[in-house]
Amino acid sequence: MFLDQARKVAYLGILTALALALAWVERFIPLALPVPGVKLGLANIVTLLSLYLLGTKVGFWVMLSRVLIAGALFSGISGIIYGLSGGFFAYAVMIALKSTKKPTIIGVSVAGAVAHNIGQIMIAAVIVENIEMFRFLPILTITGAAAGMLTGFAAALVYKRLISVRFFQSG
Amino acid sequence: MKKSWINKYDILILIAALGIAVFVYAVFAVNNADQAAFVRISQNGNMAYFSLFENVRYEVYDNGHVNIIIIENGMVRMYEANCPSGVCARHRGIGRAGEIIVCLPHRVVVEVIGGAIREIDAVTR
Repeated sequence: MFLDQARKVAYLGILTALALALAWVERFIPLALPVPGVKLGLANIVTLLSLYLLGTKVGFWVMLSRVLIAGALFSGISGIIYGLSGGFFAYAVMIALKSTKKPTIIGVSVAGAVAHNIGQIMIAAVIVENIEMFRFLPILTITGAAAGMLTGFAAALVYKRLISVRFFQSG
Repeated sequence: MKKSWINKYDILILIAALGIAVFVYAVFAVNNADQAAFVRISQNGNMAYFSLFENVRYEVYDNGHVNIIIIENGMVRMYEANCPSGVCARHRGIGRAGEIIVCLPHRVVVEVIGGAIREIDAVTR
């Protein structure tokens, strides 16, 4: 029992560090579109892996830790607010879809990415007090779906390898 | 290893996402069939209105946040902004009703809107 707890904490730390590294790398990838909120969401690869390998709870803590720390390091309070609103909404959608056992990790990733962007638009509309923010929803839904496919595919690749070497088995 | 990477539920999710995008786009397109006429600049719920067809340089200052908006020849653009991302200043000029430039960090929204003078007067009063 003790070992299991210790492993979980260790994995949580490793995965959070990995997510932070990806969030950092992503800052150097320029995206041409002049639309706020368009991004690759590389850190979502780690959220997906945590969710699939270690379960809903650990996945949630990895996501939350990453959003809080990445916000504090890179983007400040507003980054944390947008990150949390997108993160919570995306995570809720992802666990709901995963629990149906129907879509693959790629479908779950796409839905999560789109939900992330919609969650951020909702918060942005409240913050700038302007409903017109939803004007960005179509473009953000499409870029989100594309980014979600990429990160979902990356997560699927890593997941298959980690499962085959039983890396994350507890006990 | 012939198993495919995605299944039909993944495809359904993609179609649903596309459907959301098209639906919201259509809603805005229908609501913005008006002729472009005015520029609305808002920040924190405060609004300023200008004609799209006068040449104006408008500066928004707020706690060290600076946004300079220029209206010129029927187009509006964010000429300069000292926000960290600079996304708004990279946005091309806008001139059609319903188009929008947002400076998210400074909460400044620049919109082109349609409509008649009377409606605008009613709002500013």
